[in-house]
Amino acid sequence: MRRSALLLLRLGIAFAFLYPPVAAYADPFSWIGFFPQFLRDAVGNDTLLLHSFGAVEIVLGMWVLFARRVFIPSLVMALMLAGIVVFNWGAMDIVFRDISIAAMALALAVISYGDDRNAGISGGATT
Amino acid sequence: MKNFLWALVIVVLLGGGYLLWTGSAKAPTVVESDVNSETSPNTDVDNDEDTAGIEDNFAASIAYSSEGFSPSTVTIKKGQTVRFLNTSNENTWPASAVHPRHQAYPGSDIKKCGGGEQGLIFDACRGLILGEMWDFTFTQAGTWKYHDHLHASKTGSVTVTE
Repeated sequence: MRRSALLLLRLGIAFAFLYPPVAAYADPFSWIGFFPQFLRDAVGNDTLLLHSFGAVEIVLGMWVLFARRVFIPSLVMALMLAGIVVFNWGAMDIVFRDISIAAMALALAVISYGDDRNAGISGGATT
Repeated sequence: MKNFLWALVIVVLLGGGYLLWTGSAKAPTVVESDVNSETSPNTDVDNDEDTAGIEDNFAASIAYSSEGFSPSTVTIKKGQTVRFLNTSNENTWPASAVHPRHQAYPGSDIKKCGGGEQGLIFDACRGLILGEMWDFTFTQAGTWKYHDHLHASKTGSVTVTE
């Protein structure tokens, strides 16, 4: 039962990170608006920023989906989602879901951390 | 770990409360006008260099800057026109909520951009450059939220009365 629950958690979080880069490839204007302006100015190329971020999302999505130790990616995902919420506070009608997904990612990180401690592993976790 | 989670919950609650408080502390600026602009066509996009086709009579003007839309909230009467003007170096794409489909205003849908109904929807359908303006005449009463499609957190609303 626990394995199934964790698998669902991983699948849900992974999907939330694998869908946007694919969708952004087809419709970049709908996604670039979520990046804070200072980041867009710093990179200077919206397309590069969007697809670079998408590549990171894909790596994280695959990592959390297939790796045994997922503490690090799930924690990074939670932080990224928290950042999206903070920088798009005015768009709460849309990003409210990200709070829920961030909580899921944090839950996975907590579980992974606990399993890691139980197994006596440091710097990661096995779920 | 338990203490960490409690600390995290407290930080999130305090942070969220602060953001909500600062957001609500800024009273929206409301602009009301009796200027009659019951003219067609419904929408126009143009810039300062070529003003042909732009409405002279608009009930409210909303300027876009790096801070967002100002005033973010306006009240007009049914049939009146709102002008969106970009005063920022960043492009802006005003459109009906909800991002990214823009379907909140009746009949609007981003899928209609580029089609025969583009002039009838609450959607600029492209980014406006510095100095460029876009007019939209509201024919439906209600409170219609809008946003910048290129900066999704920049939002506002137009209240249309009978």
